Amino acid sequence: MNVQVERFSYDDRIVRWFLGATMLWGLVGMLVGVFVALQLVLPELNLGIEYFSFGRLRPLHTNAVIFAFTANGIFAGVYYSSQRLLKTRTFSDALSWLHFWGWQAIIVAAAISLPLGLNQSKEYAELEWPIDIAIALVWVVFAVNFFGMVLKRRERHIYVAIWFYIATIITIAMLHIFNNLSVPAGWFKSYSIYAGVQDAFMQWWYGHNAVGFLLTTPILGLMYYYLPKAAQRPVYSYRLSILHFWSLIFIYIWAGPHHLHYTSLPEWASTLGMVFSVMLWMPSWGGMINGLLTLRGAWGKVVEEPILRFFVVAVTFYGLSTFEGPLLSVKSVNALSHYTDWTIAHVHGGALGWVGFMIFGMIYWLAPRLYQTKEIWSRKLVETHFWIASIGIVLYVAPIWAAGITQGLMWRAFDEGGRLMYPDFVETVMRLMPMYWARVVGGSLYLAGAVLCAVNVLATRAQRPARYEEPVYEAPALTPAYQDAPAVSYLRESGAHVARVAYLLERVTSLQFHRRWERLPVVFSAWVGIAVVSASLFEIVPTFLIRSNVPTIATVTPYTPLEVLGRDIYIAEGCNNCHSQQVRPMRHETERYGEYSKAGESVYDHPFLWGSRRIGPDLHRVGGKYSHLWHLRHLDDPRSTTPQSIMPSYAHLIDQRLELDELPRRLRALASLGVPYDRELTEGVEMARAQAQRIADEIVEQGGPEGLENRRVTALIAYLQRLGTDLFREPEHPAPAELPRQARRTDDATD
Amino acid sequence: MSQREVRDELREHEFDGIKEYDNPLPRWWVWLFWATIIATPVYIVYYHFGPGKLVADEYQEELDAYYEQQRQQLLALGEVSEVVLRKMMENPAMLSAGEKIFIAKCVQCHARDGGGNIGPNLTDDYWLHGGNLMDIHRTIHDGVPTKGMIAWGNQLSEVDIMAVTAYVGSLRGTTPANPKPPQGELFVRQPLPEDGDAPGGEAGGEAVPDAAEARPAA
Repeated sequence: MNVQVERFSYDDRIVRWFLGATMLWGLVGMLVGVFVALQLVLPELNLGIEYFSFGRLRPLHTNAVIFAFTANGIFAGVYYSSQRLLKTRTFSDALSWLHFWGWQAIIVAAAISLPLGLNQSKEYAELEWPIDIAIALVWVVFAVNFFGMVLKRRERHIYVAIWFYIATIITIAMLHIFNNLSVPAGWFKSYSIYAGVQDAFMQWWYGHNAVGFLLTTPILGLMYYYLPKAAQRPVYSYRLSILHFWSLIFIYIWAGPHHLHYTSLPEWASTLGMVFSVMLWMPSWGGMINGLLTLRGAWGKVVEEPILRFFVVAVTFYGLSTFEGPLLSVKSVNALSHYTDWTIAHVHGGALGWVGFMIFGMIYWLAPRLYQTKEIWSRKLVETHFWIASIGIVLYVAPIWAAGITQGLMWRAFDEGGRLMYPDFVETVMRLMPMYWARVVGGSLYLAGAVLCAVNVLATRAQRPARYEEPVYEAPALTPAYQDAPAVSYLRESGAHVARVAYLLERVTSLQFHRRWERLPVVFSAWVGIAVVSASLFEIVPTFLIRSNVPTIATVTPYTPLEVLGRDIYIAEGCNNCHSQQVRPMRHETERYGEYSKAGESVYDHPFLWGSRRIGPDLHRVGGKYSHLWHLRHLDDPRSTTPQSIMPSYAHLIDQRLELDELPRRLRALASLGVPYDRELTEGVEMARAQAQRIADEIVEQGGPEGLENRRVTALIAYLQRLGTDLFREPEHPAPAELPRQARRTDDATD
Repeated sequence: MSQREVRDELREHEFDGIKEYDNPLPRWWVWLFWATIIATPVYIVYYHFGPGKLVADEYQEELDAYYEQQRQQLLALGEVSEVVLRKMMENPAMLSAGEKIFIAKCVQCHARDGGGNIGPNLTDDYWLHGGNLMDIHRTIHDGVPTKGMIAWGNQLSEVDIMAVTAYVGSLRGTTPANPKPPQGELFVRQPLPEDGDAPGGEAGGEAVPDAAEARPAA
């Protein structure tokens, strides 16, 4: 048989560029993080500029560290390792550059549009629809480039790192597309095609699995390449790789509803989210075990080699976070932790510890290889980075854990008379201030570490040769003729008399079939697709098809045209980053906020705005709770009504004119999604004007200023005053806006 | 899984220099994984098809217990009247309860010390809607919608409204930091007759409230 030997080289230039982008955006994302953390202790730090307020910059921080820092790091790591693991150059240099520049353009578009208040409000999916389409296209470019490599590989079997990359590419595409389906109303505005409960479900199916398939599986893939490379030790267990890979990707998908415990999501979904999260514990720890036990016998090296220490801390934090995750998803624990900083501490343990340290370790390992210098510029600086970043993580995570538990306990505390011990919400915020300061210090240390890393990488780059060498490798092409190794059967060898089913069982449990899949990447990818799609459908189909999930409430009617505009302002300002709109069925919540939220109340909420963190109080029952004048004063200067408030001022809403031009298009978009608008579609602008005039008059009557009928703040007040009031309306009267807000019987409000 | 010991047997292949052992799965890992898998149907059956309490049931129990507590308090206080409210003003436990409600619901407009902000000053002798405790009770209960005062009867239980009325009554004559100028008419509080026949309401507490009355008004 004549085997043809082929010659090829690797494209490290694209890896260098992605590495540079990782460093740059990492610094930007972390800097914005420190800035918003500072705003929580010094709210005036937004400098009175609307573009710098917490609600607009917090999404910029999360998007930057997830999609700019982490994703670029993943792309760098994937391109470097895949070429070598598959013994082939990237599929197409042109696609690689399209991928690179396309992705950077998306990041720049995000960095501009988010401070401008252009967002869809859904967490980690804030970017508006044109950017979403660009993300999908660039992701397809990445997928073609990657699977092209897989198909023209010169390595018969695909290594476990490649499995994880495959799962990432397939699943992220699915999550991104289905969560972002929306109807545009202009270039910079769209409405989610889902509403209320279903939108919440889709969002957290996406949100949880974005953590799973952007912050977990690709990083595990990187771990399986860079950790054994750096340690020069064999991976601990191949069969553990198989088991934890498949169980992880299948079980992960189900766990999303744990973000919606005690909300109006039906309880069966909540229960599934919880039990699958608990089942996810061991599959996650499989990765930790394989990482840590690979270092058995190499602990001496860990002491000497800072890169390995980065990896050890990363894997340890992975283990910690994947224990904490299932713990937080247990309903009774979640009752305490939800809406508090405990969740923030949890994600930062994962992000700073696991993701950050894996990527920094990888950068340090790659830099001398990519820039073809003997060593990193300064090992000492790597050491320093390791220590200050480690201290930074502890100083960040520990106080924020304490903050979360403190505030959770304060919210639920009753005195002997059965009344809230801390009825004033802001009192529970004040208690957190020392911990918020500690977080600023911890985050700044972590950022300082990243600066050292950038300096070190740049200095290493400065020592690069005048011309990079491009070594040429040789390997035989794969031939179609291949015989799998004969299956080994201990049963047959032992000669025991057993039923046929025992042989079948042996074949499955011995995992020998998997070896065959590893040389058939198309089959392998198909199985990955089946696993993640089927797991999704088990929950999605009943959520959308079973009507009893969302019992209809007769008095719930669509928002008026003015309220739609107010809701859009609420979304643009990112109010949902600090205020939830979902009162849980617990007495301390109903006592503080009012009747708990019902599924039928958010059927016209495109998108849902339930929120995930209460930096300020819940707003679902704020409608009718305060006078218009109170809202006006409070939005103008929150500290005039609540002296210790840390909310930024929204005075610009009082200055800016309310533009009604966009309104008809927005109402049509909502109507196309099934919102029953009728008169609104032809007279929307007049209706909005009339309602604004009415509110402006009422503000004057209450002793406020005149002339607010054409100001944006009036639309926002209209929306806030409507929130959560439909449940208590008398069913006979159809006209929503005119009715006095009264009658609070809740027992018979739901069907 | 015939091999149970960690033998560090290398697999035959390597990828870019990375070798793999085929060591067995740690036993504790396998057992814990099985435990979480088995716990799943047990949990679902117990809570969704068995005696376990779901979220709504737990909430209802919590609520019932509280309503019972409120009913007992209401029974002890007697039906609302000027006399009953005046007595509550002398009861430190009731005033402290009223203060908690005041902090939760009223300070946003009337300020923490009652000096007024968006809403009127509650510490002076001038009242917009009547200065009897029964008037204050009515103002709190029904609200003054045109002026932005909320009808708290829709959100607070009767005991809570009585307690916060008593607390507001007790603010009178205190000196707030930034008092809002007086609004409304001068009101002189009448001394309470011994037999309890006070303006604005009857003394006594013969009426026995039922549990429904302890809830926020329908």
